[in-house]
Amino acid sequence: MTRGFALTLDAVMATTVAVAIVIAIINMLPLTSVNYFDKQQLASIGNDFLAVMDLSGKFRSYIGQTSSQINKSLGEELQLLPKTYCGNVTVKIYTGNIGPPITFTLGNTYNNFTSGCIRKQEITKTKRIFVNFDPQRFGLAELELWLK
Amino acid sequence: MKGIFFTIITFLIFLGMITYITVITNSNIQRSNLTGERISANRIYYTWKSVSDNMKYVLNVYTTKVNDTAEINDTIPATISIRDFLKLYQQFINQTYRDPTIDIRFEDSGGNEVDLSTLDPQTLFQIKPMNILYSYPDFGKNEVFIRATPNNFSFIKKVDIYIEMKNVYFDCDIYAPGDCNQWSPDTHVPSCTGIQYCINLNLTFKDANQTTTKIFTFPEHFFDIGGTKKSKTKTGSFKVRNETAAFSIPIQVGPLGSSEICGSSNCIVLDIDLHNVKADTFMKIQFNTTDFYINLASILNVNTLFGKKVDNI
Repeated sequence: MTRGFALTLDAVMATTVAVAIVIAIINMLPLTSVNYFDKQQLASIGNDFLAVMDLSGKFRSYIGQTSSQINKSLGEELQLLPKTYCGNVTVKIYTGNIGPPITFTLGNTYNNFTSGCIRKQEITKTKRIFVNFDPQRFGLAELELWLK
Repeated sequence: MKGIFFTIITFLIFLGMITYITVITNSNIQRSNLTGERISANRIYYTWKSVSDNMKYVLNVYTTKVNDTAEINDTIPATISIRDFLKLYQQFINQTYRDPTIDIRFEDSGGNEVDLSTLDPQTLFQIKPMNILYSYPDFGKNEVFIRATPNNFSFIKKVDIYIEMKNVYFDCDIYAPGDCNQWSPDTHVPSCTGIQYCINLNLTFKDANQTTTKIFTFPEHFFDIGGTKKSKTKTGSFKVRNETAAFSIPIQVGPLGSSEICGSSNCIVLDIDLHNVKADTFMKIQFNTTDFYINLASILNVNTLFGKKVDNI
């Protein structure tokens, strides 16, 4: 009788502890990785950042400038992000050839990132294209964002 | 008896825990799905806007709606092949923006994928729902049209056009009455009161002279263009000259009437022929309503597994 009781109690306790651990892990998962809503916020801010850069003509103004000027400017723009955000922005500018076949030649790549940030695994990536009429250029801007 | 009691208790504890885990898991899945959908919707919207916003740079035409006025800033003529640029733009999108997780297509009204370079310059910009057109005969952009049907013409309240010429000078005395504005035939009227098809037009030119700013505004502002009536400059009336020779800029206002007059397309409200002229044009078309939008004659479809945005550009 006593033995049966001890075994049942053991089983209950063991199961309780095991399930508690499982629950704790399930609850901890969103905390240890990036939160869902943070992800959404990162995507929104990333898209907004690139849209503002495009619509304000910033990307087009880079055509014809030196790499150092552009990289510096990109760094300054990244400073406008909220303080808890880290960014890594890359701008590629292509020239197109109608061919046939149609080809695009990568002219320059410009890059800068938020200073003092350590790159993390949970990164949200956004991108946007832009076009310039004269001279005829095509651009691709990519932004990686993560939380500090 | 005690064994049964403990078994029941154990079972209930298990049941409670399983229920709790299920609730938490479902909640996480729902949250994840909701966020995934929102991120996807966000991505679709920004991708659509990015492709759409950049069309104006490909065409080098910038349109804006300001209350009841459509503003169109254009550069005449096209200095590059617009069709080639459109083709390159579509290919660039396919190569750099389109991927297995997002599809970007230009479509016709039937939902069929189209080659962007087949856009028709004669119906390029459509002001809807009135279906008033801002267009060119071809992508060379040497001639600018405003077209409307007689029924929809009444939506147009006023048209202001400012043309800043880059390579030609006035070859008439802008201060002498009638020297530059020799309309023939002349359908201008003192006012539009009581006239069914009457356009209120302010047409201003600036020449390329950098030292002395010369601006000429046509003193005629109201034109009766109903039936077969149209105003057109006679040869040599609005005279300009480049470095080597004198020539004229033909401007036609109207006519507006039946299909025998207008042909199969919309009627001509205004036609400015700027062959051999390099110019920036600033046009304001004021309507008697704020309920309109300016579209390109193409539909853009951006879709992912989670959703899509399909709309006129």
